Amino acid sequence: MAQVKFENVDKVFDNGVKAVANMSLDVRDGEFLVLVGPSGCGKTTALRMVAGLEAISSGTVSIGDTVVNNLTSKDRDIAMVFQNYALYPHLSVADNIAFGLRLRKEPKEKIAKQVEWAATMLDLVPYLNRRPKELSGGQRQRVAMGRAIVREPKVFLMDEPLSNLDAKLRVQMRAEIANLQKQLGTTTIYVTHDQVEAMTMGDRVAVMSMGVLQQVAEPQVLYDAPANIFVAGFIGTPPMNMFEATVEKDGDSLALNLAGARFALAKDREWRYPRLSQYAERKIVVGIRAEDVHAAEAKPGWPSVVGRLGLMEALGSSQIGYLNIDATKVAVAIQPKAPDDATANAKPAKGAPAPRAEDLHTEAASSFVTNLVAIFPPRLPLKLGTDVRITIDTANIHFFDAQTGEALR
Amino acid sequence: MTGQATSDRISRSDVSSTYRPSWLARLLSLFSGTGGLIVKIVLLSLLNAMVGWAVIVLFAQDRIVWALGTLAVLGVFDFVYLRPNKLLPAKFILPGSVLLIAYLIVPIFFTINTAFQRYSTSHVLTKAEAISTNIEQNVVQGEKFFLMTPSRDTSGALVLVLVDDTTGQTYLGRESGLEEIDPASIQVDEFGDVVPPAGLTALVGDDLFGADAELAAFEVPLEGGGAIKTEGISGAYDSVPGLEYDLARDVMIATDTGIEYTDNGRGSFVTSSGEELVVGWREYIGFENFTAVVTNPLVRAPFLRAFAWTIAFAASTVLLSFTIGLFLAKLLDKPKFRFKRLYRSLLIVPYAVPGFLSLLVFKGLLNDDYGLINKLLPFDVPWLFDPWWARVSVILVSVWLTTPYFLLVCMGALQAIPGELVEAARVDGAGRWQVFRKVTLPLLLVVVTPLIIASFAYNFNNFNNVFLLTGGGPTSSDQSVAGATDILISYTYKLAFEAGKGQDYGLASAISIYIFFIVAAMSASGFLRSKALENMK
Amino acid sequence: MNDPTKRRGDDWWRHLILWVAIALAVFPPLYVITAAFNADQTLSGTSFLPRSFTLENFKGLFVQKEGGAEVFFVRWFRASIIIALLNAFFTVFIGALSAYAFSRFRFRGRRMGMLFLLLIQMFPGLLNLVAIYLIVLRTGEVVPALGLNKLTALLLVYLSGAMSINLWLMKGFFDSIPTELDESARVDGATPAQIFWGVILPLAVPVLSVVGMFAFVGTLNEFMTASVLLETVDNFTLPLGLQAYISTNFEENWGSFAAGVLIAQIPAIVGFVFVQKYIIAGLTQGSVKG
Repeated sequence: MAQVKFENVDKVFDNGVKAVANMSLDVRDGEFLVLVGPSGCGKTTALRMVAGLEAISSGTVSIGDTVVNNLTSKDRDIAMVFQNYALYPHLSVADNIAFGLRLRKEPKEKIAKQVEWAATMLDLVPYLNRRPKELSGGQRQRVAMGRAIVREPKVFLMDEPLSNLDAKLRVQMRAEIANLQKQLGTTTIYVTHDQVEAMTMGDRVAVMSMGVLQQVAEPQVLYDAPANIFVAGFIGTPPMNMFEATVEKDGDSLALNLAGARFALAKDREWRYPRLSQYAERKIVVGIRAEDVHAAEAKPGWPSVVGRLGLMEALGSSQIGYLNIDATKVAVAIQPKAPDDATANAKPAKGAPAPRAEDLHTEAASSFVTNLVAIFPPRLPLKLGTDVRITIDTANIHFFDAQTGEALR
Repeated sequence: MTGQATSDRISRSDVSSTYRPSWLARLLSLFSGTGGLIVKIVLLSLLNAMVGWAVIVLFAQDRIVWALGTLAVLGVFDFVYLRPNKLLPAKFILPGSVLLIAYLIVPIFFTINTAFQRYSTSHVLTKAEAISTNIEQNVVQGEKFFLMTPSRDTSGALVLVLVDDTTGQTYLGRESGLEEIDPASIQVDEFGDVVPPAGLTALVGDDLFGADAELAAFEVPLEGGGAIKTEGISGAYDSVPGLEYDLARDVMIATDTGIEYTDNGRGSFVTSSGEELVVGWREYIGFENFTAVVTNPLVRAPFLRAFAWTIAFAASTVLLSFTIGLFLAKLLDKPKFRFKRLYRSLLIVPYAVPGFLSLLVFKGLLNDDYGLINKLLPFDVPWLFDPWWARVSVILVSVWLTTPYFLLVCMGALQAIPGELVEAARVDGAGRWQVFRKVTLPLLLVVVTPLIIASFAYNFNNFNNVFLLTGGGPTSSDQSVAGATDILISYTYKLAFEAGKGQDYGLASAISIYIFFIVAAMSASGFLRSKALENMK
Repeated sequence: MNDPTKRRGDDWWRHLILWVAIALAVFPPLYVITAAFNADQTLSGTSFLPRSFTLENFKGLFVQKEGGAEVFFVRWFRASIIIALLNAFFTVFIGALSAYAFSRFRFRGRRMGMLFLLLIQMFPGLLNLVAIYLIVLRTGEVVPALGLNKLTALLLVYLSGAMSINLWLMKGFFDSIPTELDESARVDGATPAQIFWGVILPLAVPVLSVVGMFAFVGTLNEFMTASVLLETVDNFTLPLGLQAYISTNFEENWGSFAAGVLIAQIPAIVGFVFVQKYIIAGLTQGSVKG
């Protein structure tokens, strides 16, 4: 049991690419911390620095009270689960699970006991004598977990352990891993590019982009109060709508001017964004979650704007509408930029991740020249290509500085 | 408990805490901790002991530089393997590197160095060695003649009792030198035979004849050069050097005629009229070996002939083999073709049999007088005797050996061509031949071209196929080293190793380097095609 | 072309051509078999179909004929097998060590090293024979066991000869083994030596088999180097011995020679069969996943 501490950690690769910049992060003892970000944001590099697989360029990483910068992997007392599981194809499941213990020359009885314990815990007992290639994807995943837990290390490190599974299995294993971690109470750092995984599994979630840590918080806080445009756009599906807008000051009260309509901002809104009044009459970025967009007739009396409906996706429980309103959309660069190459170089064996939900949405939306996503109730009669009157729930609007992208709090 | 998969329905009690690691998993502990350390120390000690001993021998032989060099290599080994957790790559690379340097890289540099030297049968020594050898070998008979009585002293060593034929002066000739003695100390017995002084026993009868060979090799060295040599079993004469070396002027002078031999700068002593002393020495001669291929008609003709034949041999072998292999592969490339596997197995028999055996067998089969092939044919073909037929034989046998390889390659490549492409072409109205020409062959060549080039480069130096079948023969009309079927590599081999016409290491090395550039160029083109370089990230 | 509508009967011409090709392919090996058992031991006396059956030819390989020359076949055979096995083993072992370093470590000169290996591989072995001869000659003056006419010296030369091409082959295969396997072992506490022995080598069995087999068969086949380094007939390897055998008493030794050829084929064919299943995998690489 131990906490993990990053203090001003930098990672610069030999080719000069800066993969992690000035990262400071405290992972509490027993906590399940998820490092999330688009591929190539430096999250895997950060994890590998904890594992001792990547040298730390500057700053310190400590596990417990020990600075581990100069310790080899095996002296850090950690266990790691890899994306492709890294099971040894030539060894049986039992041998795979026992691998680390045997390397540490644990007594035979202890190894046997631990292997049995782990196998029972993970439902692997009937498969102990099989080779990895004779197992299903989920079973392989569990073997990889088993190999980590038998060692009873101070810290678990998991590098996208579920991304090679199909969607259904992923949901199941998500819960299993989270449960396992709760039972064991071992400090865990879990890397993923999937924000749903991050939100559902993590005690806290750390969002990274381009090598920089953006925000660390509980999942709901991330959703409700994103620290900047990037977090706002990255967390949540469909992604938050963001537009350039201005806030007008009218005596004591503030109002948002968007697409020609004027939305009065309630008092408590001003309280949550005390700096907002300083930005009056200036260009800011406003963020609106899709679920905070409503059809105008459902909210009589609210100010409304007109949007042309470019695409509809009926999901049964709701329908997602893609509209075009008269406002300038602010795009958030979620696609990898320069630092990504660094991670790609560091891990050449890793394949490109599958396209993510948010990519697909962006793709679909752009082809119909839409700039706003809204979640409508089911069975609402909406016609493609027609103008739809919509309104916005101003209680949950987010405001960001147009220059820095920081939330105005 | 380990090993293959067992049934799904193993109950929990079956596997309860009886886990035992498999032998593969045990490999791990074998090379860790004390086990690995002991292995390492034992191996390293053995190495140190053996190399250390070699170093002592080297010192004893006064080869100081080599001794120190060897010691340095040993030091590198100890340094690399005894430093904990450091120099990791070196630990893995060192054994291979040392072998590579000793038996591949050093020889390459030696070869390059040799190519710039006059280095042949009569030019293997250093200049100093050549001078003394010339002096030793050029001895002329002096004016003296001795009557000789071979004797042995008490230790059994041979001693010659000598009486000067003209002066009557008496000597004892030992291996260490000549000693003059009082004529009175020896007597002549009633048969006219010499009785040696006390302590020596004259050899008589069988002893004398038995010592014949020993006597012939026996020499009594004289002060100031020369020696007394035996003649038969009862006579001896003195011999004096026929040549003298004048250090100051660096010339050899004939003692009798006074003719001077000067250093010609190319490893020989020659007179002004061009007469050369037999024994020369190694000498750097610049690019002469390389240019000889062009300028020296005695070298040019065989070189160019061997070169042309090498190209013809390699090209026809590869092209014929590829064509036949592709043709057979195409015949077999049909779904549900009967006996496909049997046919393939039988067709690759020549590939499975060691090549040198097949070549030697073919040598017998093609024998002009007794060979089975000529017996089976209604007429006699001079397979190995006639230059042109010998060339045909070499190509045919090489094709026989190479075709199975291309058969395998083409079968694999044909399978890899997507069926849809062929079907699409058929639907578009292409005939069989057109489909083959326009679709199958181009796709196949993409895969096979690098292999064809590699095979060409291989056959370019296919020493075995030529040497074991024909020995490079039959001898060509110009009586040069290169026979009718000699490819460059076998020609080079003969230049260097077959003493019949004098070995010429310098020329052989120069031709070697030509071959290197040719092969490197071919390999480079094949390599670039195969794009193996892309995997070098 | 693959025309499913064609009936099987139309294939007769394919079978015909293939049988002709097969006859040509197997004719010499078959002839060796008949000659080996043919009572008439001379070349002129052989025919394709043996007239009578005998084992005398085999006996001639092992037992000295009365008044005949000494027979060394057993020695040649043993020498060839021993040196081929040793060469296969050490080629695989030393090559794998280096290939592992080139595949897994990042060090200065790695890229240059690989290119350099490629380059010197193009220097045909024969060119070096003069130099190798002299090196072995000199070495023998210091360490007689590594001198001329010694199989140990020949072994060292063989080992260095094909090193670089094998290294490339093995490195390519090692590269296809996911690095996560190494990293996982590292996290679990394995040393590089343990990773090499416990993880990489077991997974590389296909390529190791193929390299070992090529080294084995290649050694059995090698003539040139052996002919330069080995001097006396009692120390010869099989190719050298059989060549000497057939070139000295060509005519009358033919039966025994054929018997010798028959026996000499066995090790290579056994080796071929033994690793056959790995050949495709070893050459196509990357089949380790999962």
